[in-house]
Amino acid sequence: MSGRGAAGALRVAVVGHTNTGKTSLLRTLTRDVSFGAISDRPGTTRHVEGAVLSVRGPLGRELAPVELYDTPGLEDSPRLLESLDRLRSDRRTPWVDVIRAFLEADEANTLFAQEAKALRQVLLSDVALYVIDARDRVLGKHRDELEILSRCARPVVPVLNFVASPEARTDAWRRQLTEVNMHAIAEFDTVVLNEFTEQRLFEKMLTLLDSFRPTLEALISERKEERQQLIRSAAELLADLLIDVAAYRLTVAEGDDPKRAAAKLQDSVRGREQACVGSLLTLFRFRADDFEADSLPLIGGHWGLDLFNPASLRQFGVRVGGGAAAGGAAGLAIDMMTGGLSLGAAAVLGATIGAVWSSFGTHGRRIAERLMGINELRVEETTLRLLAVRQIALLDALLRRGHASQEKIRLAAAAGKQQKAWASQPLPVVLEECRLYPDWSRLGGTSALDLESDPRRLAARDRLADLIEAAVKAGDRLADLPGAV
Amino acid sequence: MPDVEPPPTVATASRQDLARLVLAEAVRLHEENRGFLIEDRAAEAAAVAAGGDLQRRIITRAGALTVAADVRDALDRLRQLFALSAAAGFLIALALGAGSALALMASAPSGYGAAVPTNFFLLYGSLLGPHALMLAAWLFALLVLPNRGSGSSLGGSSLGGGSLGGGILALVRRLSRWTLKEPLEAAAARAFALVMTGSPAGRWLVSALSHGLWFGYLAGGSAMVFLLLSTRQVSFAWETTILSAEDYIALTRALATVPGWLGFAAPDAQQIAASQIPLATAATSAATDRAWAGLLLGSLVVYGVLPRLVLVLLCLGLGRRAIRRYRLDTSRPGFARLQERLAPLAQTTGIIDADQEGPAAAAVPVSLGQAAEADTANGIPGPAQVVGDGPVAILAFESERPKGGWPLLPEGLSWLDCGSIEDRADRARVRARLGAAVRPPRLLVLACSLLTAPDRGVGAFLAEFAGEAGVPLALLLSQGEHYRARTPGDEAAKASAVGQRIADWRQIGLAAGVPAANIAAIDLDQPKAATRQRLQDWLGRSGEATR
Repeated sequence: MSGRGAAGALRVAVVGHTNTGKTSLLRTLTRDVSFGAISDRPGTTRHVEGAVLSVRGPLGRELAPVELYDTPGLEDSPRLLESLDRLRSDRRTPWVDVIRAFLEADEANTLFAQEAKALRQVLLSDVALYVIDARDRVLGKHRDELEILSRCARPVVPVLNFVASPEARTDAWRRQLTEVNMHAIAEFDTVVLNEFTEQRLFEKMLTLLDSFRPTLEALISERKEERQQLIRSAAELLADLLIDVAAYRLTVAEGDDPKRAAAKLQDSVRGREQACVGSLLTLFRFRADDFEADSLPLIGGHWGLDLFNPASLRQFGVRVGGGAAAGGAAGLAIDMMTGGLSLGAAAVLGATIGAVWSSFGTHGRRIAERLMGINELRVEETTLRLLAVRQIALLDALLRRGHASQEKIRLAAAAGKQQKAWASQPLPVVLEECRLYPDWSRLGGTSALDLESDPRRLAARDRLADLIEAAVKAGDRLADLPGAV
Repeated sequence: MPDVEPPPTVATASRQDLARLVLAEAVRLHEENRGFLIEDRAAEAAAVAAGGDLQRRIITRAGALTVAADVRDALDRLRQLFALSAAAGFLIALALGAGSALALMASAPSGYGAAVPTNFFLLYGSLLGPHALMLAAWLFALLVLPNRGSGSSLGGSSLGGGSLGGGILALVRRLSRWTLKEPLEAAAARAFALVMTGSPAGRWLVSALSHGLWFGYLAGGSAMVFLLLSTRQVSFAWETTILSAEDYIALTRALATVPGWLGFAAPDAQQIAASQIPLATAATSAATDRAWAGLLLGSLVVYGVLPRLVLVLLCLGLGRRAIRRYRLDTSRPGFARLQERLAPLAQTTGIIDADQEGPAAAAVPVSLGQAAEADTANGIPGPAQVVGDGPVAILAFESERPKGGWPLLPEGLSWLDCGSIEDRADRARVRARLGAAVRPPRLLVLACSLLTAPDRGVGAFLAEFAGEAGVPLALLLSQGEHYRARTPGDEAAKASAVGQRIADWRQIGLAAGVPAANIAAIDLDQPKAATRQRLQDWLGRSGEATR
């Protein structure tokens, strides 16, 4: 099997000094957390591994695919350069022929085996991406590597990795690269993903590879579209979750223990949130076990701080609404809805159990008395807001997370302005409406079939998803990389 | 068995597409109901092979699943229900039309020398009026109401098609609830409703049904009128209180134009004038009556039956077009899940140029025990081995001097600062510097950064340098804290990473001939007092001098 690929394909060799993040770059570009092996030790990648990005043109026809090749790191360039210099006997021989001769020599299989594999792949490719750890100093060996690459007679696009890190020496690297006549420089950060850096990388490649214009342009627009679809799909998942929880009503019969009913309600809601988190992770192609750590708030895919714990509210900056102030600390409010409301909802007298059910003990008897005449429990508005804020924060984090990231998920609690809007303002009207339809909740036992084919619920879900999508996209615009070209 | 469908011909294209679209949606609803995807590798492979965009692949996959046959059966039954309901509705409409025409005209006396003629325009209005009004209402709804039926339920409200068609649909829905009870069948029925509400097709379908029913009604009415006019003698007249004869003449002539094109007789001005009630006499001729009858029948056909027929066909055609253009909403979670399997962003093509040497040749990961032992409490394995009594030469290897300069050495020791070193040229310079030193240094310390991965190039450099230096070499591994901060993971993972990195450096150091005691991990970025102490321990007491 050679690295030659299909006819007409754009072959991209990803090369660079060892440990600069080549495999990480490929994981990010392919959205595949299991591509290759990543570690901090030198010489982790010891073979050439390929991946294909299929590209569809505007009319749905298949265009030439883009083939990416991960290569072993270049470790010993100074000596390799000396070897090449020695091999060149005649001043007029083109350097690329010298390199071909080198690849036939013995040294290529023994001393410089890794470098030879990389160079062989470069010669079989149409373009080379030279990956640089921008945090490294510019050293002689890097200059040697650039020199070797420039002798391969292939366009080279330097990719500065880790540019989001405060230690990145972007300017020094840019100077150095311009000195060796490489001007189409791309910046990337495989850990902190930004939607524009990937696009700019392909655009830089486009400047050097005009013959592959249709493929690269189609790839760029496909990636953009894919991201929009991703945001939309995630927004629908969240909207579904919010409707399920908002509409959920638990009937408490006479003589039932209200505490047990409340616990049941809380469990159902927790489970539903869990399921949503799992679906989000799958949608973004992350694994649940990527989050196995003690760090808050995600523990093995589970929220570390309980949804019904007041500390969660504080953490996410959700203010308790006015309606829940009855009786001091107890988040217990009596909600009365009169009949004759729109759509003929029956008059319901419902109690709301919210975030501070844990203080039930202190107000136990009073609460119990209040509950005597009440027969329905549902989730409090504050909890719903917390749920929304938390899930949007998770969605934000997932959007920014590269598939090469080894870090655990960190949530910036209530970071964006839109998130703050969800945290402090009352619920959106559409969600308020949903609270009037217990049939719209999966937790209440309605089958998914009925839920998915109810046009009114679908319409409400679409409207709610629009709101969430807007919130996420507004946050997106603020998160561009600093100093990006 | 995967279903390989022949390329659809134009005539069957739209009907097939509707079935396939509904199939795809039905599969999605079914999977959502169950909670997990149907696993069928063969179907997925067929979908990938079919190519195209995600929608096409989803449809191909749905068609290739084993449950597809059941869904198709359910859809066939649904279609039968539709046909039955529509046929029943049509027959009822026919009967109603005929009945109402009969009722309207039966009041008209007949027989020999009828004394009371029939009021033409009243009869005309009663036969055609409701139809015209409903047609106007339909047009109004079509132009004014929004296009998609979303927000309204399919069973009988404002899909813009009028309540007749909606009624049929409600009937079909009730029937399907009774007969299609299996989850898969129910999914099929719901899927059909979804597709209808999700596109203009639903509105066209309902409209077509309405028009069809009206067509039946009017056709029945026309047939009954024809029958009655054929078997009885009816005379027509008209009367008015507030309008004038000219108005009626103009009106009648206007109404008569289009039927006239098709050859229906119509009264001329004189006959119209003659038919006005006060003037009508027994002398109204049969010809006039025939003319009026011609106008009546002609109007029924031209203004009633034909338009409705044309509209039925038009709505069906528009419905087909809407189905052809229908896009599955691939952002629905049920479809988005399939993206990864059917149209993955990237596919690995596997390993090329595999590693022949195998992991043995790679730096062997040092066991944690060894790493821990090497990375002792102060990272110093023991006093460094030195030669002689001179200063300690220090070099920064592929890194910079610490910000505060080299840390102060304890009494009796001095640094010989040789700058930084990274390549061959630097080595020559340093050699010259060492040679020119007043007192030959006892030890040459290379301050290396743990941020650098110790690769083959580093190893080769060290080996060559150790050979040339002429002075014992030592490795000072600094910036451990910086490296620790950089690595991802929890505390345990970080500690393990740092230990591994130190172990890797030790390994190439040893391979280059640097004695084990001469490799120490001391972080020069740490507070000065701590590093001084550790340097003291390492360099201060001169250990066994070796040659």
